[in-house]
Amino acid sequence: MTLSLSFFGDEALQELAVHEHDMGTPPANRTREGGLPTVPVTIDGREVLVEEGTSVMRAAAICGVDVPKLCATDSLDPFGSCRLCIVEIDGRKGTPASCTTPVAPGMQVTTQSPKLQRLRRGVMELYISDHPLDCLTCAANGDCELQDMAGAVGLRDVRYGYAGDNHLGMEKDTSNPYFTFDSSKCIVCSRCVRACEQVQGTFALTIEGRGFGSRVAAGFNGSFFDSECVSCGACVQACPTATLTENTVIEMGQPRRTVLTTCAYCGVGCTFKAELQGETVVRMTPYKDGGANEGHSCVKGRFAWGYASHPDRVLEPMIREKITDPWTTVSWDEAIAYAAAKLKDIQVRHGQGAIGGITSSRCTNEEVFVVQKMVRTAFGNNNVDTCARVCHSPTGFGLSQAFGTSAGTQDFKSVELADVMLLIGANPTDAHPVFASRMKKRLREGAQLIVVDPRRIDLVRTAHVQASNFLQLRPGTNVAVINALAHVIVTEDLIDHRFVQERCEPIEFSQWAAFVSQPENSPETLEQYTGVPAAEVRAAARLYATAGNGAIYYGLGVTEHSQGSTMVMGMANLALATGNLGRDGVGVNPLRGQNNVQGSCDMGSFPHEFSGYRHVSDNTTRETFEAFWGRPLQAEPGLRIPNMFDAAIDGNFKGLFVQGEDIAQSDPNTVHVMHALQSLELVIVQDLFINETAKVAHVFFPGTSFLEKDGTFTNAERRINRVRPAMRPRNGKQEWQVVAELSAALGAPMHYDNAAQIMDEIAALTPTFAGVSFAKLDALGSVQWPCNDEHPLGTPIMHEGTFVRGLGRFTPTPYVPTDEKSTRRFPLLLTTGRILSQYNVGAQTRRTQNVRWHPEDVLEIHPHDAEERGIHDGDEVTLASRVGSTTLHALLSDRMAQGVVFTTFHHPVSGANVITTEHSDWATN
Amino acid sequence: MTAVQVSPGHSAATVEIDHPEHRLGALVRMANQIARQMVADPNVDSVAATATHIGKFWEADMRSDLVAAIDAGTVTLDDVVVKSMARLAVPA
Repeated sequence: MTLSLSFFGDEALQELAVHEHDMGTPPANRTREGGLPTVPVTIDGREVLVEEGTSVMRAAAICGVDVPKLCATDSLDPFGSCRLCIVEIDGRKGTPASCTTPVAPGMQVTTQSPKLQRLRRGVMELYISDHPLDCLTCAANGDCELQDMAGAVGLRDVRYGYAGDNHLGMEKDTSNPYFTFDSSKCIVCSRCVRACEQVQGTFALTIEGRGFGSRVAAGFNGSFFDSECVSCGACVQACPTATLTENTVIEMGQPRRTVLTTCAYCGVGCTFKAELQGETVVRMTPYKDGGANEGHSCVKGRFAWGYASHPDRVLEPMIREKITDPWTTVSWDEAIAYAAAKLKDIQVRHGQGAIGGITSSRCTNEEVFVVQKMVRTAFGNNNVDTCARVCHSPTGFGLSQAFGTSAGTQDFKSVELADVMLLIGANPTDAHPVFASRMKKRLREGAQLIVVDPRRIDLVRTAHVQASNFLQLRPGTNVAVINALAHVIVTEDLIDHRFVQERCEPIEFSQWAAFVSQPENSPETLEQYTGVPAAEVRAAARLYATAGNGAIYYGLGVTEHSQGSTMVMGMANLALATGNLGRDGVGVNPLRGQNNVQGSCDMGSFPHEFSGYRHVSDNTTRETFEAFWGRPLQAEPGLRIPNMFDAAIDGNFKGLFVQGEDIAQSDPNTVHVMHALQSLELVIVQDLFINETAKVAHVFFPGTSFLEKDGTFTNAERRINRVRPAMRPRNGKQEWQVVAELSAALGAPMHYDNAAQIMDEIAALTPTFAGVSFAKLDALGSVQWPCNDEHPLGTPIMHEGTFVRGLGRFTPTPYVPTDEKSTRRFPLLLTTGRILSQYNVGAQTRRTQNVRWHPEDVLEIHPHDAEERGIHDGDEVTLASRVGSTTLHALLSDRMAQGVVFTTFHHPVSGANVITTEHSDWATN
Repeated sequence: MTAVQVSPGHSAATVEIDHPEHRLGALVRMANQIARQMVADPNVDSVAATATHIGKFWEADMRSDLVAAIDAGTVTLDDVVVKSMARLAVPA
């Protein structure tokens, strides 16, 4: 099927043709391991060369022949149940199913003959004899494969009436807020069941009963909502009939227009088709050719987009003199002039450095770039930072020390060739669910898994997946564990000596090896700190070092610690020592929390770096920017977010521009943050909603949702994806336009007609983006930086042959216990995280039906700790630290070890960050 | 991670909240934290490494305020920090 994809540009409606063709079965070779031998086959007289192992159905599709099918689709393994894809093969008896029959050299296949036509018509007749004939009023009318196939086989009448037993009266399951299950329309092709197993890996669905009684069921005769279903939408996507249909399609009808864009939730960066009627979204469906997701989705991206049109959205600019005043709605010109005048006045009275800006990892690269440019040129200082400061700047620091680049080494597809995954401080099934599905698929194929986490995350043991080793460490002891793993690898000589000799700095390796070999770094010695039995550590180290391709994946459980950067370097050391870098299936890979964490860091959001991670003190780089921007730039680093807060409380910092981030809810130590914000004379917030930060703001610039934005996001695998506007900005302006106008009002005009020109400037100023343009992204779909003359099509796998810095660098990583320790007064350790249905501070997901899965944050506490305190499941409890307290309901759970409690921070009413303290990474705090 | 206490019911009033950390206190904490990491690495000159790190990442006022506090003797700092700050050029 060829879709006409359209999107709103700045000038006119643009058209982009995208081909999405269901090949029926997956390719024979699903990885990049190397091409398989090809074999010649002839389909309906047309000869074609296809890879060995290709199905006849796919071979036919390759040469332009679509064999009729119902149970087959190219995202699922062939099943051979519908009998519609039968073909004739010279020299073979019968009519085999083309989906389950692999090609053979010289095979002669016939897909159309009177005999096949008659048989297929008979099969369709049986299907339709137990299917409601309500096509004209059916929600899937126009998008129904059963309807299409009835047409394709020439079905004209059905000899079997409805007098006998049938399923037409079966009740609908409407329990899920986003889709309806209408069993009366089910043809039991099992595509939904197989999608749940093979694509999502949840195994929530099954076929219950036998023969005529066979029906799709969610769990044990329960509803979809009460089952294990995670609402990823894979079953809805796979369904060839109206059995599983999005409620929005049922309510609104079929979409008429499609815009290809990128999800704005986590750092996976899934490509979606926004399917619309006019400018109203009907549904979001994952795009098969999306590099990051390859046609899969999660409950957030697939369904939780309703916030974009939520009535809470503010669409007009507002100002007020004091935060106790009511807001006054004003024109854009008034708001911008007011903000500019206030900023200028502050600088006159308090100095050039008294104002700054915070960029957002939710905004596009182009939007982020103009904010940091405004700070450096119009504000005249380097007081710009990003919300990624709190979560992932240790990655940038640590990986640049080891490899020379501030980013992960692999693309997501690489996991398909991993033999062992070392997963540290990340919970992908909740926080990065689409990548988790890829991990689970590989694990079901036989790869092994080591989990390092204080909490027994789902991947430790879930359907058809079990970790080989679960190192349930005490919070704050990551570095001790990584050193213990390294100790085993060095002392048991599990080193890849050839890799180290050829690819690494020899002196640094020797120093590191001597360091980790010391007895104080042995698993036995460190067990007293980590709580992890030494034997478990030794087994995990041996597995990682010897299982073949070892891939490290990690999350905020690594970076949001006082030794975050040290830990990143520790993981890099481990990969270097075992030669697990520079090829498919290996690497050191951060799972970025938000959609554009990588991009916001790449774009020069840090106070000490221009785009491309080049220090502001570097004269050559600075002069390049000065020449391009026509303004003198500061050579001194500016304030980071925590420093801005401290300086605000101290009275030296007076004005702050906050782009798309709710620092009052997301940053640790809320009392401190609010004290800082309330100490400011001017807070400008650019956002969709009046969030917790906007409640203490003086200027509110309404922002745009991802459905309105025009730009790019860069995901965790350095993939630059296009974000295309599905509708015009509901606030009347793109966010970059607002920033450009504010900058101009401050005396530093920017000259852009559209977002593509901003990317052109980024490319001109940033060597790793030199080859990136909207035109190239539209042509290729996406590229992974570096993308330049050396790598014109981008770089899926980094450090092949040589590291960006030349030789890989080992760094000793001494374990330094954090100052944040449990005490008699505060005897438990709190860790925080995310759950599947909610996203960060919940500004988006709380305004969708996802709240049905998570209406409030709860405190997970071990039953023993609860009993000691007289706490029962569901009780209201007070959670307090030395900086604040809050009230939550208790959830008794043994997922944490005794002494550790866990909560999420999705709801402002519970405000988990009221509790969290200021201890952050030593190198990047 | 954060050290916490958990008690049944709504009992926030029983919790005594620490006084918020002052900016200078934060500078001292961060500088000492950097120095501790550098000292723990046997392969680096901890004074030089601390100076380099602070020079690269800290805003000028932060550096000058810490130097002023050292000169005034109002803060307790790791000796490595004191020595490293003496090496740092602080812009006027």
